[in-house]
Amino acid sequence: MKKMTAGLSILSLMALAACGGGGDGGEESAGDLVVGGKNFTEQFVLATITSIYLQENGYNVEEATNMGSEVVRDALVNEQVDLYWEYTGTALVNYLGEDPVSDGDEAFDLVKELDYEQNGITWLDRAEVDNTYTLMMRQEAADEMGIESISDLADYVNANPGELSFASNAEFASRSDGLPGAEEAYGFEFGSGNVNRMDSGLTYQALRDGNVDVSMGFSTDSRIVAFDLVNLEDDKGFFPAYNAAISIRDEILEEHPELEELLAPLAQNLDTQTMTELNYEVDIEQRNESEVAREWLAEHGLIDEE
Amino acid sequence: MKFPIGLPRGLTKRFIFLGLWIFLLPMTLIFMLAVFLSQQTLEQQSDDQTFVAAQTLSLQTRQVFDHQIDMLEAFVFDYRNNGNLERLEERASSHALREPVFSEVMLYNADGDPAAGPDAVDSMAPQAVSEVFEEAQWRRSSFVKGVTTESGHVRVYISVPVQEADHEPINGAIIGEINPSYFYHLIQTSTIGSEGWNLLVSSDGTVFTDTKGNRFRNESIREENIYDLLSRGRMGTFRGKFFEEDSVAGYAPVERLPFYAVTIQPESQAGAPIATLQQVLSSGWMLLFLAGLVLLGVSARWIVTPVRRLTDQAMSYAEGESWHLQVMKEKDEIRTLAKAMQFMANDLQEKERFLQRILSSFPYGVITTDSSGYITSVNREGAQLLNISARSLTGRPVETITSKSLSRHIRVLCGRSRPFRNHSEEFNFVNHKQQKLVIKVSSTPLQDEKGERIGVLTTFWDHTEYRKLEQHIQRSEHLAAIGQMTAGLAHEVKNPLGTIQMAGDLIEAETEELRKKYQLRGPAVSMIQEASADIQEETRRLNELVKRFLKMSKPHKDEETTVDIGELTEEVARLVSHQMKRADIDCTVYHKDDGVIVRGDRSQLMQAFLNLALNALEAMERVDRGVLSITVRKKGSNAEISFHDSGAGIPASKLKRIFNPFFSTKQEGTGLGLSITHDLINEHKGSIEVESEYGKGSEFTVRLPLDKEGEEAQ
Repeated sequence: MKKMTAGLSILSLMALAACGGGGDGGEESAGDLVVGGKNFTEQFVLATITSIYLQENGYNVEEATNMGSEVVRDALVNEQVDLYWEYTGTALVNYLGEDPVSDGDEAFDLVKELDYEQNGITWLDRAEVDNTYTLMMRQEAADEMGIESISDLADYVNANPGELSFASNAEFASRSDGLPGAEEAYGFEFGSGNVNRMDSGLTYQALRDGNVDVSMGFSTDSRIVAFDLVNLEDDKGFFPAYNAAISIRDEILEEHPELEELLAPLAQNLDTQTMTELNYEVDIEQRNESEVAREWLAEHGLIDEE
Repeated sequence: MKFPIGLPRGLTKRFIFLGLWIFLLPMTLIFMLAVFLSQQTLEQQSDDQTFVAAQTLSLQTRQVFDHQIDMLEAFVFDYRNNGNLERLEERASSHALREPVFSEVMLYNADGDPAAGPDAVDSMAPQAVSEVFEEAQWRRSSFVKGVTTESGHVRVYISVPVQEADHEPINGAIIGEINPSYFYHLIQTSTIGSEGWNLLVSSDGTVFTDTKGNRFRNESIREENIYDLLSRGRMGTFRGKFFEEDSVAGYAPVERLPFYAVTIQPESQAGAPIATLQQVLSSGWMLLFLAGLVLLGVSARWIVTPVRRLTDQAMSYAEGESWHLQVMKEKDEIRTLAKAMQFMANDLQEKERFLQRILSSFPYGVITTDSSGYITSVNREGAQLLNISARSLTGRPVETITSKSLSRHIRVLCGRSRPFRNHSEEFNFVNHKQQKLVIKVSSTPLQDEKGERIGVLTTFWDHTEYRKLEQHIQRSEHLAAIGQMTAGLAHEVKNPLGTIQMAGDLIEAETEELRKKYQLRGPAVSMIQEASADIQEETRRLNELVKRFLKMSKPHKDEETTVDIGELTEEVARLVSHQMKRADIDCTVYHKDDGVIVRGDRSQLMQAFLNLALNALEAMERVDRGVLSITVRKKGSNAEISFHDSGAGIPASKLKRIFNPFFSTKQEGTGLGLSITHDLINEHKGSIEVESEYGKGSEFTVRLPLDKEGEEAQ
């Protein structure tokens, strides 16, 4: 009986004292990469996801974000950036001088082919994220005016010229696949006085607050739902497909052929809905991009949960 | 009851074992769980705290940079509106004076040279600045860059492009070098506790600033384990060595900036609450464990002791002690048990006592033995008969019995393998008082419930009285036969005797007539006269004898009355007093008791006593100054009358035959006196005994049953 008691005490004390920790050892870097990115939320999120994913796979990653769309493209071409997330529509129209293509696969195949031939840039498989331009109205106002599609909007604008104001960022207001193209395709015009140019992130708020009646936006932006806005249907299929895909310099891919396979799961696991949610987390919930990115990566088993 | 000393055994052991399992073990487990969980919680808490601090640090840092970028961008916007490059240059360089964040801010032109001209004082490292400017050229937007120079110094720059519109090629850039001491002070505010410290690390792993007096500034943490986590862009908490100190480190990248924010707490500080908690819980556990042991001991005493007491009691009861346990006061099962056991014990004892009582009240001696001849029990009567205590016999071999014949009898039966039934025997035994006893023994096999022989049951009893009685009866029958025979003989004698008497009378009368008629004289005549007188004398005596004999042979009690023996003996003494005086005999009656009354025929009793008195008289005829003591007393339910004489006594050889008819020690005796007396006394359900010592005297003792009614009447 005494032995047993002693044994019990020792056991308990051992249990009481038990505690510990551990750490990982270092590894050799798999290579240095510069991940580029544009200057809006989705791009920050995508860049962060990519760089964390690469870092977790042993790459030494430098981020170069907050760049203009064409600036980052130039940086890629000029070998200052190694890879970044680009949209098929943007590349097709802005960089390759092609006409916009509405069909996702068609657009991607064309971009992939042309960009490789002309610029030595490889497009990895596209994600089901279609961050195309969209025209939005407040749900309430749209219902009141009976506007559901861009054609309805065109009719309304033509019937009541100068009544509706429009919010746009600088790029959309001047791009051929932006407002001017849409106005031409649907046959209406807001009039230069009614177009308010502002930072891309502010258009949603301006629309919500009633400063404008119609606003441009990106279809993956979470604020469309959060602010009770409505996307006007692109019934003429004007806006091109803007599927997100990683564009990477061919030399980099030659140097790191494993990247194609390594990065594939990112595109496979992303779609418009997911992207909207991730954007929502950052824009509306004001969370850290790296937090959101890590969460998503871990959720899909792409990195180990900490 | 003794409290067990040393290792507990039996019930207590079980109780303590059970107690350990159902109380101490779960308690220990709960404690272990509590310690484990609270440790986890506290660790988690300290991890969270450290991590949150790192996040705060990260946010703080980012806000400072964002603010400065906004300020510099505002200058550029102004420039875009007014195109005044000089003013921009001036604002940029004076901004460093206002803002302690910067150690220096300078405007560079499109070629990357200071806008103020080559004379401008440029304390910034030209190599690093050109690297930043080059990047500004292709990025065309604001950014922050850390540059580690060849000397190993880390420099951090903010670069804001100067351009006509966003994303246009740049005309120049405002580049500001960050003053590490600003962050040194800034991040001081968010250290944890007195031992905690913070640091900012550039993305290549070089310490930009730390709150330990910049001790680690420009040192690389690439060799530290934590760098592996940082380089993967992770955020969280790290436990392990950091600069050779066990630490808890919170770490997070600074969003969009080439920095990592790290918050360090020495393990000793972070673990302090855990250590305290562990200590408290451990001592609490020890305390409870000890208390539990004490409680177990006490409750073992409380619960087990009554049971032990009961068990001990039952054991000693089984060993033959009486049940002495007090019924416990508690109203519980043990009390019920104790009560029930006591009841059972009493009942058992009662039954045993009852059997014992039957056995000891049994008027015969009873001995039981086992089959190997060891005595298992002896009853009281048996022990008395053998004059040995039952206890000294029990458990001993049967040879311990004083009577060799008895032990032999039992031994033979014990050894007998064949079945037997009621084996009886009779033998003599001289007891401790040297009395010769006749013992009758009867043995039967002792069988258990299955009918197997487990020993011998022997019953024995004093058969002496029975034997005596048997002899007495034989003698009486013998006497009665002789009596009848002699009575017949007497009848036959009586008639011729009458004829002889008449003939004698006739002879005398005729002789007298002849003598008178013929005047006969002479010796012959007188001889005839003498002879006839003798004939007459002897026939008369003979006739008397026959008459008496016949009378005796029919000793029927005529009438029964209550007879006062005292009075009767006095009367007898009076009747013989004359003869006694003549023979110089002192005759005295001693009345030891008054009112000694029996029922019977007074005249017959008188005759019996008279016979005894005369018998004594005759015995003392040749003795000078003889003494006859007649003593009357009550003895039990009898009247005892003894006639003690100081006569010649009776030889032992004749003593046995003294009551036989026609047996006399005297020459003149008929031999019927004592025989008649014997018969008379027998007729009255009494007895007569004689003791005698030859030459000294005899004592006849008559016992007659006392008249109960008469006695009660008195």
